Amino acid sequence: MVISKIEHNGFLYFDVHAEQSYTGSFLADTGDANNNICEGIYGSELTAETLRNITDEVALYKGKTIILDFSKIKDVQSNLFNTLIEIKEHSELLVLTEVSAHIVKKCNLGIFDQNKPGEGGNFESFVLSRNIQYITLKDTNELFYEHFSTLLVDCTITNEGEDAFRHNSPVYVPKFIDIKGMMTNDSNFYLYILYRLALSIKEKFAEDGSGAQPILFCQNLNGAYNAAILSRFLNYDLLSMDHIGPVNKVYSSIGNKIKEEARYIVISDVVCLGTEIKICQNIINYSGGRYIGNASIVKIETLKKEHQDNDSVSVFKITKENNPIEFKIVTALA
Amino acid sequence: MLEENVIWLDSPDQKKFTSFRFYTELLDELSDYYRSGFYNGGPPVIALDRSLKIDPVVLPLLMALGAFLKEFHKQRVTLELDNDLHSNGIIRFLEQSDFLHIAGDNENPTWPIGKRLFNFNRSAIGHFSTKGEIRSDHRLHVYSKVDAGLRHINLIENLEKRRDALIEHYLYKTGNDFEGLISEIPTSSTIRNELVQTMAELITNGIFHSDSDVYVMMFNNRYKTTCSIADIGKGLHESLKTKPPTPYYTYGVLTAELVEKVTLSMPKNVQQSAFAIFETFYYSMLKDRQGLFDLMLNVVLGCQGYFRLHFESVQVIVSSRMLGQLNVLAEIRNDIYSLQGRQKAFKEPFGDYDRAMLDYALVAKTAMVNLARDIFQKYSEDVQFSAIRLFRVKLRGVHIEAEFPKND
Repeated sequence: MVISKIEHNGFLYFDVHAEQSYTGSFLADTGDANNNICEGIYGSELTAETLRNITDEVALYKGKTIILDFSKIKDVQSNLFNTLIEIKEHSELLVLTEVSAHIVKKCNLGIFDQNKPGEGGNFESFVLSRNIQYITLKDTNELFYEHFSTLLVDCTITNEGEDAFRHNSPVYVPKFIDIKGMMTNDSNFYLYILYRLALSIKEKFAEDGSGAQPILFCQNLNGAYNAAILSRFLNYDLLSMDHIGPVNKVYSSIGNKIKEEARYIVISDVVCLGTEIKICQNIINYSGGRYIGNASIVKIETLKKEHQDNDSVSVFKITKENNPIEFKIVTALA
Repeated sequence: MLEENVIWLDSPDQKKFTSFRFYTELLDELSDYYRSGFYNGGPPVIALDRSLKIDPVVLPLLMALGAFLKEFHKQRVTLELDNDLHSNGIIRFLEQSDFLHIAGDNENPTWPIGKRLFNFNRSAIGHFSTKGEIRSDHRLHVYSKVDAGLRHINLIENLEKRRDALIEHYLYKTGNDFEGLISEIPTSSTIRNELVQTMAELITNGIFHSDSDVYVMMFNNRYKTTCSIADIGKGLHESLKTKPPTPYYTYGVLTAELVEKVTLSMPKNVQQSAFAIFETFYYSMLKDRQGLFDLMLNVVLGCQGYFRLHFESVQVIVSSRMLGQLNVLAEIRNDIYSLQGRQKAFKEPFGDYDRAMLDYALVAKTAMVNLARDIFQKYSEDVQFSAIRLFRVKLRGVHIEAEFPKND
């Protein structure tokens, strides 16, 4: 199984580091109690199993150009040459992008000597072919967002009239983003979404000099699903408190769950007005923990840039300019 | 020191008990014991003197010896520990490095589960002085084919794939087990990565080829990082014999040449072990996948380290002192590997490939024979600093030490 495959104009794109992170987080652990293997997104070495999974996926297609993005891969397991050749044979053309000279040498790919290295000896793109090939590649970020938008549009439910009433916030929301739908419609790609979220979390929150890792805090079922996977990718602990948002509950014994002075990141699915995040923030801070921010799949930017808090990361932001699902928040006043 | 049926390991004048002393003194005394009148069919007792200062890289060898003796005698060797509650540093080290846990019959999952190789008095363990911390990272590790983590890997029928899966498993595992020690080496992250990979491949070689348990110790000091890996498997001859012949390699082809070209006189069995090491390097050099030979080059040329391989009664020490010859070999190896790559990628006709390989095999053979001749030549001139060591007594299995100096 692969998570990062995106098909576009006869090309199949794979993010090799995402695949490696998936292997390292979920497949490498062999179930031996003495052996807890979880490399998460921190591994940068491509291993045989990951490449084997990509090969199996490519074998399902015919005549595609395969693009393997090596940008975050620093090293490879030895003897991957045969598997790379197998992928090449299943495809029209095999291209490795952002690949280092070290990897080219180690994979014995020097035999494709028409590829010319760029500055520093690395290759922006490396074609496994004897002939010089000119191909135009699409930016992988752009591809990701296109693919994400399509999935988002497919999984948005329109709730007109009475249905737009929300019990938890005093506003009407006529569009409902069905995150569960996204999880089930394309569960592999959803893992890729979480992988990208994990990268952003690591970049924004990882280091504060104390050496202690932040703890993921989740507050509903979707958040718990996300946090469970993120905690493997990031190797962070997680704390789950269900039903903080929509249901009015009195928490009388929350204090003993929150570790004093530990840093917490609230994980959710969609952040709309941020009411639930605020509740979580209060619970965490009141109990002696430190709320350091939140992470979500989709965030609705209801405020102008200058008024926004700088404590959140998300995979996709819905803004005035970027609103493929025509999301809106309505009150009885307007 | 052998007294009746007791072999004492000690450190007179603070002389460290190194692997060299293991191969010479301990194995010699062991053989003396079997020839003495005190041998009555039972194993000897190994006693640890209070003065003993042990080089941590010897622990895997001791373990391998214990495993071998247990297999031979069908009973465990007794390890005598002398704890006077005062100078008991050696017992403390053996306990905290997990040696005693693995060697004994520990069943507490907090520590590695015991392999029941040695008998010792458990009540002699304890009352340690707390002077001077022992690093918690300096631990002996044991990897076994029957580890629960290998259950699925052992089922893979395709040998190449099983090997890849093993390497992958040990990449993660050594990454975890030796992370602290490796991260301290003041070198580039590429070399550190290479080190993890080297360990993973060495452990895989042990598990894959020898079918025995593999004992590993990694140790850091101010000047170097050393890892020592020992198994008591079937050894080099037996695994080479199982390789199917190819148009350019048959088992024993290099040995035959060495018998002619190397004039140093040595006992037949020593000669066989010595030549088997070169035969193995030669075989690995011609192979269409990276293996022991590439690993050795990587340690010596890539990381400026030392690669010591002990097999039966011979140890070969490959270091940058043989730079010239190693570079020649590395170049030939590169050409061979590229040729094999081209054959697979571009499907060149097999006839052409075999002919080209045959040419390379001859060139490689000459270069390997030159290396071996040079090593033996230097041995007859200067035994002490030679790159080869010949021992009187043999120990089954392959024992590898890779040493990486710290160049800061």
